[in-house]
Amino acid sequence: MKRKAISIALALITTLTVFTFMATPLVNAQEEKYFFEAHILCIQGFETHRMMAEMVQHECEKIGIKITVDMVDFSIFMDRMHVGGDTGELSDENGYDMWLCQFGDSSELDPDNAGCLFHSKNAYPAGWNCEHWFNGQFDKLMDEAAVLTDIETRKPYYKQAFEILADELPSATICYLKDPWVMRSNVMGFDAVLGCYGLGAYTWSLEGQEGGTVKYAQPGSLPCLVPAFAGAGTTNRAVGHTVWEALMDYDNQYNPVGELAESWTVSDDGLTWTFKLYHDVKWHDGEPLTAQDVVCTYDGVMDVETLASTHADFVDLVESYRAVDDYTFELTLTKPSAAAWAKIFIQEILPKHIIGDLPHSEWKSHALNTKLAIGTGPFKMVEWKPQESVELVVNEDYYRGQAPLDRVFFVNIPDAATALSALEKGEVDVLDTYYSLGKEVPHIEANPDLKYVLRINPGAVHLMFQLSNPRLNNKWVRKAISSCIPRQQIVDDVLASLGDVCTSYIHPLTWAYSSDVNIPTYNIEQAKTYMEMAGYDYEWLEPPPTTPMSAYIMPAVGGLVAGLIVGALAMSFLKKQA
Amino acid sequence: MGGLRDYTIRRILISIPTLFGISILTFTIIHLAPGGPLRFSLALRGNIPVEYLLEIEHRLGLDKPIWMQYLIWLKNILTGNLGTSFIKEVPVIDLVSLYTWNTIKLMLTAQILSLIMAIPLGIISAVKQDSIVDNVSRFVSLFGVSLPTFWTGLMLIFIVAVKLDLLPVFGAHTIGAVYSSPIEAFLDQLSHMILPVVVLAFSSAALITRLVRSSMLEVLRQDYIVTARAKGLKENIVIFKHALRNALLPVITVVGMSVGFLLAGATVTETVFAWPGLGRFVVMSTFNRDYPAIMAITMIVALMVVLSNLITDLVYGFLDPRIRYE
Repeated sequence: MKRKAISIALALITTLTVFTFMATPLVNAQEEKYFFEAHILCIQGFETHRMMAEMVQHECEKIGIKITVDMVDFSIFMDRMHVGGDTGELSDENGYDMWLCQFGDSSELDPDNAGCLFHSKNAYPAGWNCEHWFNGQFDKLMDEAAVLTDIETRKPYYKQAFEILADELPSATICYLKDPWVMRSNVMGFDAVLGCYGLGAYTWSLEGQEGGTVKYAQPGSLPCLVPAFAGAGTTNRAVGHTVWEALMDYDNQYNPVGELAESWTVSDDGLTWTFKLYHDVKWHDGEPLTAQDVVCTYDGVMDVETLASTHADFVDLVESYRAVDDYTFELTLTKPSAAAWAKIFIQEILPKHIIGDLPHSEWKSHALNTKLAIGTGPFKMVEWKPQESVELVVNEDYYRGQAPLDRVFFVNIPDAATALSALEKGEVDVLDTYYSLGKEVPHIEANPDLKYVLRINPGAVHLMFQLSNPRLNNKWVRKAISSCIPRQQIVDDVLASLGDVCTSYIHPLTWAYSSDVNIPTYNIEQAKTYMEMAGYDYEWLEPPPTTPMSAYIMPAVGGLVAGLIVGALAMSFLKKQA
Repeated sequence: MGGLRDYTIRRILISIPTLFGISILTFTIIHLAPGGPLRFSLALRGNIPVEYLLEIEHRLGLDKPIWMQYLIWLKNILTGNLGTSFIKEVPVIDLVSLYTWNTIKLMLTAQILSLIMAIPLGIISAVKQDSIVDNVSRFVSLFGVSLPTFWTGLMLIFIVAVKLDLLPVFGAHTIGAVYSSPIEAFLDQLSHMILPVVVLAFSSAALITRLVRSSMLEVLRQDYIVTARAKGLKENIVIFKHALRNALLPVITVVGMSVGFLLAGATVTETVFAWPGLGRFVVMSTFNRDYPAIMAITMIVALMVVLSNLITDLVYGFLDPRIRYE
């Protein structure tokens, strides 16, 4: 009896399994209704990006585009992007169809920078334009606006340029992120825009306390100490403008302000900039700073052997420069450029008396970059323990007056949960925005010891299209996809309202923004119209005729036969056992 | 003892081709991995003139064919030069020596602690099979084997460091602390080591406890144990002299092999506790495609594993005199 039962059970299971396997493709075939497939590339570890991509995937299904989301590690992402830019290969080879990522182009400093993704001069390998979108009219407008210096004259150029972008849509912008700087309640003077850039750390203080120490935690460790050699935000946050200083800097409205330069004048043709330096600036080792230091630094950056990251902008924009006297520096540009301050004059100045005699190729490996930074800023560097911390102590002789704090530590804690525990316990005082602690905001609000400052990240999250993909090389298709991005829902659900919807190519806070230049927003019906304008006919997408019942005969017979065979085999096997 | 010396020398000689093979394999794999160091270091920059690219390529030696790059690396390493880190432009040896020492400190302490916990527990579990001690230790070690280290780490931080406020949360020492005496500095370091060491030791001890237990049970059933007991030997002597020595053989094998696993586990533990060690450095170097750093770390780890295996084999001889080194 038992034998029979086992055999029948086995036969039944086999029948069902075989039937399911054979019938699934028939059922699936009824659901597959799409015009074409495309992939979205995202960086592994960015959960919010993955969720956004999956929402786009879900919505695009409704208009007949099948999207696959690929998560890859950062280095592979970069590689695929560059291969795509180089050869135009797509996701099925080594390139990409679309990528979704937050991209900071510094266009908040000057709208000219907004061209870095779209201008043809930035095509691979020179820059970020990897999507093969080129537009002569856009290039012309950007080039013409770049050499103008008056904001009011420049405005219409950028409006027109961004209109072209909004019409052609080489990328669909999605949203701006607001990341919290979480800190102990007693940390005062923390500016949401500057953070620790610029004169950020200079204004920090502790409530009800003279001096004191602030420990600032960030997830990444520093590769080296001179920002121009680092190519990483971690270095900039720790020693950029706290230890190092440049001729110019920006304030929390992104307006240019003088740093080492007490004042500056620009000639009428916009070409010659003359800077008056502060007289009483001393390097942290006691030597005075002069215009010769500026000349020495600019010499280094101009030489390709130095391998400074600002090299390209210098070669492009700098014609000549000289020290008029010890405290006057004069520089002539190759062409007028309102963006020059953001490209040239925020280059940090290096001490001539330390590295002036060295060949430029040895600068990068000098102790100034690898062991101890000696700058002119409000804080002096004491020690750098790689992967642990950078220790800064207040510069008592600072020419603008001493900063309120005694000491600042930039601590490296890779894990966000550990960092938050350390903050709650008071082992550190401020957590970097890179920890993306948006989800923790309710938890932070409930804790009286903690508070947060929101930083509006001026770089938008883009969905960038690769135009060498023939399907995406049609602006109506791109508009359709843009209409499939549920931006408001993304901000509400994925970002927990810590963000803003973005439908432009430049941040609303900046002067180049105009509210009437917008890209297509979420509207599925409109998206379908765009698809029809692109030549896709939804009649093709009508579900295929229902599979007739007769089609299921073969799977059923197959299942039965397999079941019978297995049942019989089991029966005879069990008999032998008995 | 001549046999032992010859054996050791022979083993060391054999390990040379092993290390050589590992180096070729690693070198090939990291060069095959998509995304070179060039792409990475340029990732965060805007416009790049071609001569800039060529200059970097030349400076890093990436413009030569891969076999030539390998030969240059080999020549350097034979003269004791581990190369210069692509990203930091400082000699790799400076970085690696610092981090290696930190990681070894963590690993050795964890290994010793896990042995101290695991061997007695394993013995008691086996001798008093199905007693309370046995059941509890089996239950706890099940947790140890199956819980991921980052989870235990975070839980320990939350409970011990934040809620109970007993130990520091992260790092190798208190940031910005000024010590009045070396003892104070040592105690500070020690307090920072406790949590990561416990996390590492817990998972490794769990495995070893189970191994000692099963191995002891096996041995205790052997005829010679029955004989020993029949001769009227004291139970302690039976267990420690007759049973334990034999039971430890498989345990030693696992402990020797676990050096590699501990290093892998250290990567996670170091990340959770922000410990400045080799594990975190290797992850960062891999993401940055910092070839010289990756090669140096791989060779160091390979050397450590080869050495620990050699030591394991030598320890066999002390535990079991029947093993001859020929």
